[in-house]
Amino acid sequence: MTPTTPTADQRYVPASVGEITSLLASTCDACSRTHFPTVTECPACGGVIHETRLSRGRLSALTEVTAPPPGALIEPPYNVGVTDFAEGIRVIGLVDGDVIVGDEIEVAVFEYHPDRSTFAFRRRIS
Amino acid sequence: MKDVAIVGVGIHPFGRFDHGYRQIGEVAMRDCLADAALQPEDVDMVLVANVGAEMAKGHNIVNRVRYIGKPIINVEAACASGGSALSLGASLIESGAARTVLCVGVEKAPRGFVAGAGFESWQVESGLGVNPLYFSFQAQDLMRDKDVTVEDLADVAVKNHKHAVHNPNAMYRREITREEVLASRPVCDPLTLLMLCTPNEGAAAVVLMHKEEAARRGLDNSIRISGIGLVSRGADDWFVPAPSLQSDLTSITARAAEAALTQAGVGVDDIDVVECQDTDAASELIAYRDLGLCKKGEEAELLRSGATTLGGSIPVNVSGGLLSKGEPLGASGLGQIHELVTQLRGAAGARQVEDAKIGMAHVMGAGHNACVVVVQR
Repeated sequence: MTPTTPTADQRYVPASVGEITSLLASTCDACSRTHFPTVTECPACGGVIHETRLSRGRLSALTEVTAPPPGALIEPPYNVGVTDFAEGIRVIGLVDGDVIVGDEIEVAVFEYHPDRSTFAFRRRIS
Repeated sequence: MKDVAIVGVGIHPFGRFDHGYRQIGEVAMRDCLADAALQPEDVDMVLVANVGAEMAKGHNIVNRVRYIGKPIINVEAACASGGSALSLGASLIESGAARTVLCVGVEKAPRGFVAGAGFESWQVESGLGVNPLYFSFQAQDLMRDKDVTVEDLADVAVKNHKHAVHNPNAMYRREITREEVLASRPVCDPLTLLMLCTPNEGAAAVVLMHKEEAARRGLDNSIRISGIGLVSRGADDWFVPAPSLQSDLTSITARAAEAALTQAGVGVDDIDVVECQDTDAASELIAYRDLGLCKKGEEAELLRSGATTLGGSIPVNVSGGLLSKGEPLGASGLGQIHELVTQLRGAAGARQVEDAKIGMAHVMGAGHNACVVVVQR
């Protein structure tokens, strides 16, 4: 296959801070595994992949980080969780607002530093 | 694997020291050569396991001891660096490429969280690049799906600290109580400070020799490496630094254990003593299952039964484990081999596992590496 040019660090559909978005993932045509972030071909089986968007899931784990990790620009304390998506993948990400394990989750753009945003999981309101 | 004998082991205690990694490695190397009654020039090759020092670290250590003029190769595979060096050394001997290989593992880790564990910059900057976070998610999965409580997690730390009282090379040699563990500073729920190992400093060394070369030299060749399983990530494994995981997971440790046991031609029931990667308390319980010491779902039961405590049917981490020794990344795997050889020699004193004949060592690390080694006499 011809390698596609990877989009620089694009992990979610661009949107404004606070708005709902989707994670950009890759699903394999051959083995059906979904990978996040995106890949150029399936690292599990070498199969051709197509784009999948992950937008709704369920929170399965949650913890708080209280001490600053090396190199982090985010200020502790902050919450991190695991969201399980129906596509058979679980993704680790920041958590925005009050969420408990078991909650239905949506993905939104979250500003954690004046110059930095990323995706975050929040309780589904839509 | 039939031909690889361990003819000497050496160690520099694990802890915090004023001297540098070169001196730390030198101590273990000299201790090991003295234990084997060998001269530095007797070795054909030196493999040095280290994660964070600098370029040519192994050379900088060996040159303090002797200019041997032989190949010195630096090996890095995160927490599995020591296992990787040992695997490479054993393969060289089995293949005939070398008769005597010295493996040295050394680390002088800075205080605090391990940096540079392979996370991408977006993970690091947004605060996702910190290992205990991922250990806590494994712990939460374990507690949700199995009969495991936070008290069980505390009891893993209690057990290993109790063992470490008798290990002069451990960093923490004080018994602790369940209450102390639970009351220690929360790090990432459910893990508290005393349920996590400390990245620290130390070194360990192992000298491997073809059994016939050992016999020719009149050395004791009765302790052998009989199996090594060294594997990297498979499609459905998960560990740091990956930002996502498949819903249905496989175990990298289980594959490494199966490979090692098959090569050794022994069953897990034949194992007398285990040193495993207790980076955190939950990881030890997960290792019980993945190494085959118990069935899935019986992890806590095995701990509660006392089987994995010194005096039990399958003692785990009688050295004190990483929870008590600390984890000098490059040295931890060879530190486990040092412990197993000490046990197989019957020289472990108050922490001796009675009549230990077969030992199993397990490390796993970032990138996803796992190495399981079977040592027997």
